[in-house]
Amino acid sequence: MSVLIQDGRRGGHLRWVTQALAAGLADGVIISPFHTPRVSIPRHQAGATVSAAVIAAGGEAVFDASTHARLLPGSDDVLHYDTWQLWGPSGIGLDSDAKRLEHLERVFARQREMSVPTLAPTLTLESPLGQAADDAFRTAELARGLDPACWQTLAGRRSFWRAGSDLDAYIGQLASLRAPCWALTVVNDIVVDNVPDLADTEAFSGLLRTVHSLSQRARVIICHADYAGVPAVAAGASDIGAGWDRGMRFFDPRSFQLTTPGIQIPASYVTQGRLGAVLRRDTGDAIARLGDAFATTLRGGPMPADDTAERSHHLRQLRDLVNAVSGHGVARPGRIGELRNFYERSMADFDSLLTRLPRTTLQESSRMRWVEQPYRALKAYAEAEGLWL
Amino acid sequence: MYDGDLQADVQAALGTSELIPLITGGQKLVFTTELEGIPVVAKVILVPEGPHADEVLERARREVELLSTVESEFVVRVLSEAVEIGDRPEAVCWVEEFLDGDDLRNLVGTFPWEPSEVWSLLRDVGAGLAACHELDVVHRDLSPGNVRRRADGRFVVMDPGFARHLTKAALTGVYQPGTPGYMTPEHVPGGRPTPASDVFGLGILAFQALTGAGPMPYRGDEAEYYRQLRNGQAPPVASVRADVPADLASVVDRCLQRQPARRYLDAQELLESLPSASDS
Ligand SMILES: Nc1ncnc2c1ncn2[C@@H]1O[C@H](COP(=O)(O)OP(=O)(O)OP(=O)(O)O)[C@@H](O)[C@H]1O
Repeated sequence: MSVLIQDGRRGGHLRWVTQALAAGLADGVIISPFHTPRVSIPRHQAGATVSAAVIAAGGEAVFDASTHARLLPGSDDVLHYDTWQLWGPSGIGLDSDAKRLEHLERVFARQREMSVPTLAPTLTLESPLGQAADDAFRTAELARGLDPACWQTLAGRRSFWRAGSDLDAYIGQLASLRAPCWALTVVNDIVVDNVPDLADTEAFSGLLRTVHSLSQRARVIICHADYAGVPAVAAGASDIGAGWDRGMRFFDPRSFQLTTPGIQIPASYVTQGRLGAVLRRDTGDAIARLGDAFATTLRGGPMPADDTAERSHHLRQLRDLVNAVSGHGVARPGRIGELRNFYERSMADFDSLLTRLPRTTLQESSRMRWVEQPYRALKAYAEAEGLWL
Repeated sequence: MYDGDLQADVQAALGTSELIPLITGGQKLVFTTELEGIPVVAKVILVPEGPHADEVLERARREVELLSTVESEFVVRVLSEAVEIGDRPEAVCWVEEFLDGDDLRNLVGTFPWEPSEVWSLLRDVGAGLAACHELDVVHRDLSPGNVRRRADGRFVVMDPGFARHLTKAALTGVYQPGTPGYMTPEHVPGGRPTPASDVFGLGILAFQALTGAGPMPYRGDEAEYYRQLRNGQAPPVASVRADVPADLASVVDRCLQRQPARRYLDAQELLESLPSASDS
C-alpha cells in the first residue's frame, strides 16, 4: 500500500483510476459520496460498481462517508451525497446519541454493501477540547461498539493539530479504541492554489507526532495529502490520499460546495519528481531548455505528452518517493533520513534552478512551499523525538 | 460535627467488633476491627455540610458498589455496601479486608530493588489495575501510599479511584486526583485520567523502585511540575541505572511515555507484555 486516489468529479474518473491501478501507479481508491452517487446516473457509476471495479483491478476500495465535509458550513453540493441516505430521522449531525447511531448504522451498511472496510465518520475539529471533540470521540466509541474492527477517521483544522499536549491527550483517548486503521485529514479553511501550504510548522509537526503515535499500533492513511503527506510517511503513515485535481490533492471546502466554478482543470502542470514539486508546464519547458538529460532527471522521466500522461507521471513520481521512504520498514530513523536527504537535495536543485531561470518562470516561493516548509515540519517533529540524527 | 457517638454508630451499622483507630483526622477515618472473626478495616468519610453532600454520598454509593465487583487478589476487597450514618446523613462508611504487611511508602528506604522484585511489582499491581480497567474503573491515584506489600510478598492495590476521591471531593466539591510526584500528564488540571494514566502511575512506582528516585519529582513549584508533566519526557531507566535488564527498562520506559497513545493502553496490555514469573 502507498498511494490511494481520492475521488473526483471529472467524468471518466473510474476509467482513469482503474487504468492507474492496472499500471501499478496506485494501490487503491477512496470513494466519496460527494463525488460518486449511490445509484448510477449518466457519466457517473454507482458506488458499488466503482468499488467492484477497483477491487477487480487489484486495488483497495475505501468508502469515506466524508461526514467531516458534509457538516462544514456551506457544504451544499449534495446531489450525489443525498442518494446515499446516510442520516436517520433524528437529523444531520453527530451531536446526539440518536444521530450518531442512526448515521453510523447507515454508513456501515453502505460500506458492507460495497464490500469495503467499515470506516467510521467524524466531524471537523478546531480543538481537541470541547464539545465537538467529545462528540467525535463518542462517535468513534460508538462505532467501535457496533463493529470492533472498524477503521476510524480524524479530521482537524490546523488549530487542532497545533494543540500540543491537549492533542496528545486526545490522541491517547482515541488510541484506546484500538482501531486497526486511522484515516487522518488536515482540513484547510481555504485552498487558493495548487501548492501545498505547510507554513504552520507547529501544526504539521503535531500531525507528524500524532502519526508517529497512532502508527505504532495501526495503519495510518493521510487523506487529501499528495506530496504534502510524504512527511507523514516518514513518521510512520503507510498511505497517502492523492490525485491530480485540486479537490483530490487538498481537502478543499469548496469541492463540497455548489458555488464552485466547475472543475478546475490544471491543464498545464508537470510533476518534477526529483524536486517533489508540481510546476507549471512553461516552467517545465524552461527547465528542458537548460538541458535535456538534466530536465529528464529532475522530472524523473520523459516530458508527459498530455494531461493523461501527466496524471500517470505524477502518480509514479509520488509513489516512488513514498515507497523509497517507507522502504525503510518500521524504523523511523531510516524513513526520516531518507526524506531529509530527498528534501536537502531538492532544495539544492531548486537553488541552482533559481539562479538559472528568470523570476517570472520560477519563484522562491515554489521552493519554500514544495520543499522547505515540509522539511521544517519534518525537522521540528524529528528533533523533538530525538530522531534528527 | 456529629452529635452522637460516631464510632459506636459505625460499629453498629457495619456489624463489626470494636473499632481501633488506625488513622484519624481530616475527612477520613480508618479503623481496624473484625467482622465475623476476620480482621478488617472500617473506613469512614465525613459528609460535609452544604451543597456537596449529595454528590459525595452518591459517589460513595456508586464507587463502593463498583469496587465490590472487582475480583482480584491484587486489589483490596470491599466487604460491605456504603452505609450511611446519621440523619443528614453525616458520614458514610464501609468495610474492607485488612491487608497485613506494609505500605510501599514505608519501603522506599529499601530502594533500589532487585529487578525480580520490580517485575513482581509490575505483575501484581498490573493485575490489580487490569481487574479495575476491565470494569472501566480508573484508579487515578496510584502512589506508594496505596500499594501494600503483604507479608507473603504480594503487592495489593488499595483505594482504587474512590476513597481519596471521596475525601477530597468532600472538602471542595471538585475532585482533583493525584499525589505530587506521582501524577501523570493527564492529571494536569483540564486533563482526564484514563487507564493509560494508571499505566504511567505504575511506571513511576517501578522507576522509583529501580532507581531510588521518581522520574518526575515534585520540587515544590506546582506550575513547573505541571509544565514538566505536560511537556517533558521521563528519562530512560538506563540513563539513571545502567545495570537494569534491557527488557525491564523498556517496559518501564514505555509506561512512562508522555503521550498516552505510546504507552500500554491499559493494564491488561501491560500484563500481556510481561515475561512470565519464571522467566524474569
Ligand atoms: N485495607 C487495609 N488494610 C490495611 N491497612 C490499610 C487498609 N486500608 C488503608 N490502610 C492503611 O491506612 C492508610 C490510609 O488509608 P487510605 O489510603 O484509605 O486513606 P487516605 O486518606 O486516602 O490516605 P492517604 O492520603 O495517605 O493515601 C493506608 O496508607 C494504609 O496504611
